Parts: sequence; structure tokens; C-alpha cells
Amino acid sequence: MVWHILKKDVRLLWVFALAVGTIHLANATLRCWLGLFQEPNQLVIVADLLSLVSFLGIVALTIAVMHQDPVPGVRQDWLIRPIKRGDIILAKLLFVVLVIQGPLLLADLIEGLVDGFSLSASFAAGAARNVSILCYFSLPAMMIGAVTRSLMESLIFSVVGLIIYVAVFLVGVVLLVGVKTSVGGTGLSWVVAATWYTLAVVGTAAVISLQFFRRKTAMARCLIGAGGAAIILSSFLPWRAAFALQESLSRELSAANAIALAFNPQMGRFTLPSGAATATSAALYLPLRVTGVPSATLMLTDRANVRIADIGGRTLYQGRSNLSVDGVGSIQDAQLEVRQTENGDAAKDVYQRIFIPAAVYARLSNQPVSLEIDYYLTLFRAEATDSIPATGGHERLKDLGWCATRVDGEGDDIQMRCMDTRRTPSCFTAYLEHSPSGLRNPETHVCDPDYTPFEANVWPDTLSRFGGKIPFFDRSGLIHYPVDGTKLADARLVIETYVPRDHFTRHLTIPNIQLSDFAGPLAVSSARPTQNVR
Amino acid sequence: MIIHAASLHKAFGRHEALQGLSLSVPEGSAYALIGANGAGKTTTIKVLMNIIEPSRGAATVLGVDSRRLSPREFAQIGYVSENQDMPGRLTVGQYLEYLRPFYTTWDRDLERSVLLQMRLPIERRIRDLSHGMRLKMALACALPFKPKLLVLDEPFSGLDSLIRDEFMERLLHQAGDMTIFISSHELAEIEGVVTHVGFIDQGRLLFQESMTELSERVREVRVTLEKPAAAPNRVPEGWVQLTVEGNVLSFVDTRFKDDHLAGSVAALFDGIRNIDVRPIALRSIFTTLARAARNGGV
Repeated sequence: MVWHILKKDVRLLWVFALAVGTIHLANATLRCWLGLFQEPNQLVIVADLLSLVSFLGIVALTIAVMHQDPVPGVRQDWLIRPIKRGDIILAKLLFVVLVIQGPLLLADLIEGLVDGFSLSASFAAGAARNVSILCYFSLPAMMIGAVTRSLMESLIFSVVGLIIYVAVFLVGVVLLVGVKTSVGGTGLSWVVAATWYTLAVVGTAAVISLQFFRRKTAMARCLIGAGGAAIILSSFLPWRAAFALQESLSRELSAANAIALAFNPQMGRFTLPSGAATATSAALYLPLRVTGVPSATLMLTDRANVRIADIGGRTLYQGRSNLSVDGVGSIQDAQLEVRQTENGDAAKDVYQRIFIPAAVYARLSNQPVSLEIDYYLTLFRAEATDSIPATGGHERLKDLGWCATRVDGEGDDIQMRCMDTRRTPSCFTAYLEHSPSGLRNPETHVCDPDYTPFEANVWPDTLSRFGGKIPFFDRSGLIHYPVDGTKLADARLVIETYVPRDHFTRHLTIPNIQLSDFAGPLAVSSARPTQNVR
Repeated sequence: MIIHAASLHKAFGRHEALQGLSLSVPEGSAYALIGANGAGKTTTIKVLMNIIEPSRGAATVLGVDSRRLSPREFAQIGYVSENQDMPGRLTVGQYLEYLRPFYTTWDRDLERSVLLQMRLPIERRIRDLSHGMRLKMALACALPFKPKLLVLDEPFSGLDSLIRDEFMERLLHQAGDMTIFISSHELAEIEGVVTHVGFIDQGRLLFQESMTELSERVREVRVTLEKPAAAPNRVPEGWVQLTVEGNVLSFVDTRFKDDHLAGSVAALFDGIRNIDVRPIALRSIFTTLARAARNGGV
């Protein structure tokens, strides 16, 4: 009877389903039309709006199909019919998969094919996105639909849930109590998504079983609330536990075994490069020697927990440094990053910048303290190198997908954009190379770590996009690039991508140090501590 | 018994809708559950149909615990309620077409005949049907599979007499050996149709009996005495609404037995001139019994 119930629901909702499917298709068409550089901007806004509407359509349609045989209430005719509850559940699930998500998969498939990707690659990307959307939107909507009777009730239920979330967790926990999410904004933020996926699957099974077989609406609603709380709490998963999980998922478990970090005071005090603008805020620049970094790899800090103690071991300051630290600085500011060339194995001397609150620095700068740093690190391995003409390039690259280049509107950068059915690389370096002369510009390096162990590209469409601007001309005249505008016609843009291979930790203890000896150009930081025990 | 309930309790918050209700519906009977609005009729039916769970107590329907009713039992139960939610966007024909495959005993000829007699517009959407039409629609969805048990919850509420008569006519025509369990707050609606009645008040069943026994055991009695008399301090069990006006004594005997009455009257009063015994209307029987039951039982 599953198909029979499904046919009834289709008969009731086909107009709605057709409208949502049309939105998916319109969005995919528009995305194709916008091309690699996603222009004009006004239409990108329209496309983003369409993506949003298509998600809302999925949610509303899923709730609507659940409401065709609502569970809460005592007046429904189906309750006294010889209809197996299991058949209803299966019919609803089939409706979601075939009628709601099917058109989305088709739209994603068409978009991938029109953009020149193979059928298998387009299908794989579309299927992965559909699974993500199923977990993110459809399954939760099924749960909400199962515990409500009308779209209005569902809306009220969702809005109340959102208000509780904002009020209790964001305002209460994050702003007032000062607890910060541990994995948010780092490569480990997938933990929250994974929790969401798991709870969506398990929660849907539990809530729908509870509703259809036992009709315990109040209990089912409480269960949804508890699941929502668990998802939010997963953002506050202790960093060590999250990183331990990440370590266990390393692709090359022992690749970073030889890497060691040591305090290297012989390097002396950090000085800004000649001609560089003075930083508006500054901190400690800790001289470090990093050894054992394998060739053709990149070592990146995911987080560094800093503890300053007095000579007796009493903690004076405790803070952390990672990408999300109070929005301070760029990745280069906040992170310790070491890159090893293809054949290199030399020790690397680097300065690690550590932000310390101005008041803390003022209090501790001239007294002997001990400094302990717990490093949480990731080793990336160079995976592929591709090149494309520096201007007017429009090529399908084996490892990067469909890429294009052009000179940007200001005439000083090469604008590079790539799109692929696979995930964007976490890190890449790009540089301009003039093939006839062999001249090469300094590398532009971009890293946005994402260690998600599964494909989860949801927004805005099925294709992943990445890109950057590679300078070839400095309007201030301070920098002169070997490959400048005159050589662009024969130049190629070389792009090297890195993938995460190993996650590991290191501990550094400096027993006796005076902070003022390692202060930067401006030894005052406007950064707020993420956690301060004093 | 096709339905049996024992000490059913159902509370909605602090309100006890059912307070130990027990009833038994014999197979093949037409049982009417009578009670005022809010007495607990609909709650009883919803508990019996497993639409809501009882707080305490248990009931069996077709020999199965009401909380365990499965599609196998529901395939033998027709249910018609005044406030039944059917998919409003489907037409009458589409909904019947949807329901058919769920019942192995669905009779297409019977369906056609019911539709014809009820003059239901098969192309019209359910949400566009009038209240009366919707009730007919509910009945049309409950009869074609020839249920063993037909449960009707206030089926005449808000219906005009013409539609009500049509409804009953249709129902009786199809009844056969089907057991009918019908709830109503209006006795006149089901008089002449039912074989058994139960009276529910404030969540309790005050009495239940077959109609034949009920009408035979309740009589209005008027005794004319030789001279005026006072009301006795004690009266035989079953005498209710006793009044004395001059030399005329009136009461309702709820345990009437022709050969016992004269003796019972003679034991209390001297000089009996005449005893007049009359059957009374069902409505009056209920009024009398209900009052008596509230005052301590009959």
C-alpha cells in the first residue's frame, strides 16, 4: 500500500511539488548562466535568493506531505482505517526522496552536465548534496511535520524553537556567560554538521516511530528539543576531544612524527620587513625552530592554547589562538605556518605571533614567567600542480575542475576562479610564471582549512567554487613583480593544492622568559582573550 | 460481547472525562449510548477506537484490547463521526478510490448503491460538502466494506430531520447482522432503531439494558384510594417520582411486574379503589431513570 498512499499524496501536492521543482531548475539554469565568475552581482543575489527559496520550498513541502496524514489530534479519518503505520511512514519517506529531492538531484545533475562535468561526477556531487540537504532540511522537516497539524503550527513551533535557541544559547551562553564555541570557524567545524546529520537520522527514526506507533506528541516534541540542544552543544565539544577524533581520522597517521618545535631565542627580536606598514596592534613574536617537516608539505596550526605562569607555576593568563579568535587578524596573523619545498628538509625558523590582552601584557611584561603552548597542528601534503594561461585562460584542469583567469577591473591582479564537482582544496598556492624567461612571482598562499571527512556541499548549489587574486602590479610602487603586465601574455598561472594528511599535537614549554624581550613592533594588543582565568 | 469496557478512566488535565465507565455491547445489537453533551460519549468512543488512550481501565473491541487495535480489526470497523477530518482536497470519488484497496471486503456495487441513494456528488471536493453531506460521505466510506461493527459518534448532530431520516433509512437498509454502536444526546433520534441502550452521565454509565426489557419494566402507575392518604415513609425499591394528591397516588415503577404491583400497593395503603398502569414514552423512561440514578440508583 506504500505506492497507493504515495499516489494519494502526489495527487494532493503535485502543484506544490512542481513549483518547488521549477525553482530548483530555475536556480540551476541561472547558476549555469552566471558562469565561473558569477556575474553580474545583481543576478547572483537573485540566484542566492532562489537557493534560499528552494530550501524553504523543500521544508514546506516536506511538512505538507506529513500533514496529509497528520498524527496529532483526534479527528483524523486515517486513524480508524486499516492502514499500516509503517506503510504511511515509508510512503512519506518515498515522497521526500522521489518527489521533493528527486527534482533537486535532477537540477544538480543538469547543472553539472551543462557546466561540462561528466555524468558520474555530476551525479556523485548531486547525490552527496542531496544527502546533505536530506539531513539538514528534509528529515528535520519530517520531524516537525510529524508533531504538528498545520503549516502555521509548524511555523510557530520552528519560530519558538529558534527564539529559545537565540535566547538561551546565543545570548545566554555565548554572550553573557562568555563560553565560546570550540570548533566553530576551524577545520573541525564539520563535527557540528556530523552531529546534525547523525541526530537528524536517529532523531527522525525515533520521533516518527514514537508518533506513528505510539502517538506521543508531547514526548516527541521534547525529543526534538533535546536533539536541537545536542546539536548546539556539539559546538561546545571540548577541543581536545574534537581534535582527538580528528587525529584518529588522519589519512597518514605517522606522517608528522618527525616534526618538532623548539624555542629559538638566537633568532632575536622580530622586526617588520623593510617598508612594511606598522601594525595597528601587536603581540609577542615567539622565535621558533621547526624541524622534521617533510618535503612538499605544509604545517598549519589549528589552535594554540597559551598559558603564562609565574615561576611557582601559578597560572597568570590562559588564552587560545586560532582562526576564530575574536576575529583578530588574518590566518597569517594568528597561525603558525611552515611550508617545505618539494625537495627541502631544512629546519625552519619562524616567529609565532601570540596575541595577549593589553592589560595582561602591561602587568606581566617585565617579570619572569614561564610560557606553555599546546599546539594542535595539521600537516598538509602537496597533492597536485596545475597551470593555466595567466589571462583569458579557460581550461578544464585535472585536479581543479573548470578554471578561468582574467585581469581584474583594477588592472593589478589576475583573477582566478575554479569550479568543480569535488570539494575545494583546503589550501592552495598560486604564482605567475613567465615560461620563456623562467621568471616567477612570489607565491600567493590561501588556506581555509576544512577537514570534513564526507562531501557536504549544500550552499548555494551542487558545484564547489574557489579562487583568488594574484597580484602582478603594485600601484604604490613598493613591490616590483618579475612577471608584470608586459609579460602576462606568455605567462601561466601555476596552482598547487594541498590536502590534509595528518593531525597531531605538540607541547612547548619555555620555563623562564620575559615577555618584553619578544614583544613586536607595538607590544599592545587590542585582542580580547577567549578564556582568561585571572 | 463485541465491545466490552471495564472501569475506563480518562482525564484531560484535571477534568475527568471518564470516571470508571463500564459497558458491554452484545454482538448483533444496535446499542445506543445516550447522554447529555459533555457526558463522555465521544471520549468513550475515541478510547474504544484507540484514538486516545485511557488513563486507567481497559476495553476490548472485537475481542482485542482497544490499545492494540490493528489494521486487521479496523478492516471490520466502520466509524462515522460528526467531526471526522477527511482529506478535503480530494473529491468524494477520489477518496473512495483511495480507501477501496485497504479493505478486502469492499463491495463496489454496494458503494455505487450507497452513493446513488445518498445522492453524493462524486466530483465534488470533500471540503466543499455541507455538514450533512459530509456525514453522508463518512457513512458512504463506512458501509461498502460491510463492517462487523459500525460506530457512529453523534451522527445526527446538526442534521435536519429529512437528512437524518435518509441516513437512518440507509443505515437500517444495510445493517444486516452488523453491530451498531451509536452515541447520541437526543433519544428521539434513535428510538425505534436501537435494541440496547446505555445511559452515560458525567463519565459514568448509569445503566444499560435491552430496549425490550426497559420498556417492559418501567410503568407509570396511578392508584386511586378510597380516602386521602399521606405518602409512606418507605416505598418498595424501584418506585420513583412518588406523589400523593388527595386520594390519588402516582409513581413510576422501574421494576414493574404485573403480578406483584397490586400486592405491593395493598401492603402500604388501605381502601384501593383503582390501579391504573400505563406504559410510558422512552424519553420519559430516560428522564426518570436518569434522575433516579443520579439520586442513588434504580
